[in-house]
Amino acid sequence: MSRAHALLFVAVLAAAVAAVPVARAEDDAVTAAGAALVEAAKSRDAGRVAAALEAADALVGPGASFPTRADLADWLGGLPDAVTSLDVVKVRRAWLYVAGKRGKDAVPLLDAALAKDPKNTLLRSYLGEAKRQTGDLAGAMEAWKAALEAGAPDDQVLPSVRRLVYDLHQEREKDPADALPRYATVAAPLLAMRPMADVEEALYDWLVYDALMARPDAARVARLRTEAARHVAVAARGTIPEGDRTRVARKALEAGQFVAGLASAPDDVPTAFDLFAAAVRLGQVAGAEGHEVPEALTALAEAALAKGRFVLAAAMARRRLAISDSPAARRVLEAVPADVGD
Amino acid sequence: MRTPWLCAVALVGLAAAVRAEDGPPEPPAGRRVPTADVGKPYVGIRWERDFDEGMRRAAKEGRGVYLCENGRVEEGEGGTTMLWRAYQGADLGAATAGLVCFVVNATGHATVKAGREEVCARYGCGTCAAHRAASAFVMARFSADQSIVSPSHFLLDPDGRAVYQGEYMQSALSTSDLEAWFVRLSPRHALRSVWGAREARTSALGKAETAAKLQELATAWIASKDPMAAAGVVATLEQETDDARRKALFAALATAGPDALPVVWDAVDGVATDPDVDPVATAAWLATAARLDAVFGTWALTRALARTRATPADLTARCTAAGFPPASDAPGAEALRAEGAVLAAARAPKPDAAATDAALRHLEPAARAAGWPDARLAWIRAVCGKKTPVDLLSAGRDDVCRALLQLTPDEAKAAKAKLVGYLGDAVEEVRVAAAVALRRAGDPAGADVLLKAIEDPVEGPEVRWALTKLAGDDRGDTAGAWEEFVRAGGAK
Repeated sequence: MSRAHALLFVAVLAAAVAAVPVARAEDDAVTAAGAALVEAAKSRDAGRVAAALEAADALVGPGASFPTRADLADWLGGLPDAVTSLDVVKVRRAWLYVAGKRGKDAVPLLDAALAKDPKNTLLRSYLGEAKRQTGDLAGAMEAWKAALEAGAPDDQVLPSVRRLVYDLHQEREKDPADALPRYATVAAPLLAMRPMADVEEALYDWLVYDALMARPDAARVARLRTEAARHVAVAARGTIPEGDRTRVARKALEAGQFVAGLASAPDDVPTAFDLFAAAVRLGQVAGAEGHEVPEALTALAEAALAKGRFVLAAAMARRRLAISDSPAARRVLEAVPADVGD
Repeated sequence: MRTPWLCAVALVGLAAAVRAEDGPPEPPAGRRVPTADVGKPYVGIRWERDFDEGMRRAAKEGRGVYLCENGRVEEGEGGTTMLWRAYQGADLGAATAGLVCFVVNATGHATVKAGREEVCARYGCGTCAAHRAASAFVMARFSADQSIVSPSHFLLDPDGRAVYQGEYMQSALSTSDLEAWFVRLSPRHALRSVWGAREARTSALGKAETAAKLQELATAWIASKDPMAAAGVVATLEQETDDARRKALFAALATAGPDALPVVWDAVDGVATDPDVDPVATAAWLATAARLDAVFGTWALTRALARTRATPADLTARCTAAGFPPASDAPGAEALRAEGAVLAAARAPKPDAAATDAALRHLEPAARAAGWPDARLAWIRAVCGKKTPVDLLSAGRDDVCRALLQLTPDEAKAAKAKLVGYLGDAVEEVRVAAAVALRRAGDPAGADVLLKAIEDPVEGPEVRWALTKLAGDDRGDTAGAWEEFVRAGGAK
């Protein structure tokens, strides 16, 4: 065999060995971790148990003793009863399963933990995420709702809700064609409790896009766009970073123009006036003249005129004309009573 | 050493994996995609380079938007020769200079350098990104079934409303049509640009030796149906200081008809809003407005009468002397006159209830004949201290607000508990209406609502209006300026 061929053979062999999955056998580090946990459990020293669990965590990673957190959880479950019976270990295992995307294995552990500690919002949040991973969306919603009602801080629950909505959007091909998409409805109870402006805005964008794709089914287009209007109204009421206000203002305006064109709308749909008002508020730039969305001023002027709010109509029309030409704003001023304005 | 075979395989693989980025689609075999002749400078309609920026500019600058869809026209020489004629040429370039223009095509093309810019090779101007974004916009906005006739043409006003749309090549607007739309949609720009666009005409007006000659030239220009004529006469008028020449120009302008309304609107509105600054100019503009359009002129006169510190008879007489035509019997004009009469009666130094009632009785049928909404009649009745009944069984939030705002001070005092309850309503305009009703009754219970609302761009104008009426003077649009008055309660 030539030198070159020998080198090539060694390289191929090394690659083959490296390609074999690392067996979760009892290597030295794992053995030591297990022993430490057993000793800590026997000592009943919570600090030692916690430290031992942290040390075991360090063995997780690609190419490490445990490729995933769920693998660590499996291993913990195989330790002696003295370890596995500890509540802190059960909770850790549950978290590891959730983090490792094996919610099905986390649920029984979390149910047991919550039976002993029903007010624990963190566990309740984990339960919601675990159920989400199993596809039990109703169960997930129930758990998250309960967590929030029990006082869970937003960051325990809302990231999971956000993830759910985005995942449902990715899977929208599976939704029935004659219903609203699940991404727009499943999380509604939670979004009603804790509006998230970014999620609401994303829902608006997705529903408008789906409405475009639904043409020429006019009824479905109307249904999707009406739902979109609900969401942008919520987004517009939320806390919006300065740099995003104009973008949301334009969407509120667009939604208002759609609602204004409806022959009739359900009572829970925001009115065109309210959407235009939101666009005007969002398009204001503090300390600056003019308006970022001049068309919203005209739209609100016309809506105010239709409601008989003549002072507002004239004020908006004047603001619009102070920026630039607008035949529509002029028509509004020609339609207000003679003593209004200025 | 032999080159490692893995590296060689990788290189081959990479080469195979490289694919062209989104390049232009290949033209159908046997057909050459026509491109603009980029050897010569482009002359024609200037297509925008950025769709979003162009639309923003249209609203911000008060310009119309012209969209020319031709994406489905055959990308072959025969099908596009007409297109080049419809969109290129110095006349079209000049006629569209005041508009924001987009060519609409979903297909990407190659680019070429034109001067320092990369432009779409097909159109010789603008970018593929812009014409593709315009296509998405047109399809979303104007197509109910994801298809559209190609070519099509659309024109939007500065607020994005469609004012024109047409199908097939004959819907492309001519230079005269484009100029007429420009004047209608962007009269302020038209007044500025007419000096350059019609240099010979405006120069001739400026050089006219006598007022009579000036009137003759201006009248002839208007009679020529040049879409820019009225703009040219108004622009000249706005710079003219000699009384006789101004009179001549007004006389010429009065022959222009309703097409001149956009270019006179600002001037007429200005004198109607503040009629006492220059009574001679006020009368001249009001008379001209009425000669151009009876309803518009009556609108302006009614506003001026509601604001002048002179007597109505004086202002009316000056307008008549300036050529204000006899009262028109057009329904809109009749209703406006009747409204003016009600306002005058209600605001007389010693209002006469019988006279006010009589004026109202005359207004109501006139308003209905003119198609005025009930809300306008309700407003005028409120000026006269009369309420409009609200059907509580079907009252929506607008009716609730109207009912609250109609309360007299005594009624508001008697209903204080209910009004305080409304201060916590979920709807802001209801909260504000309740707070205004309370303050009218001298009660500061709604002070926080009012002070928050006065700085709100939506609720602020009406709150300020109501407080100004109560206080007798306008203290501005900040909460700080009104705080003392709002919290003090009591009368003024």
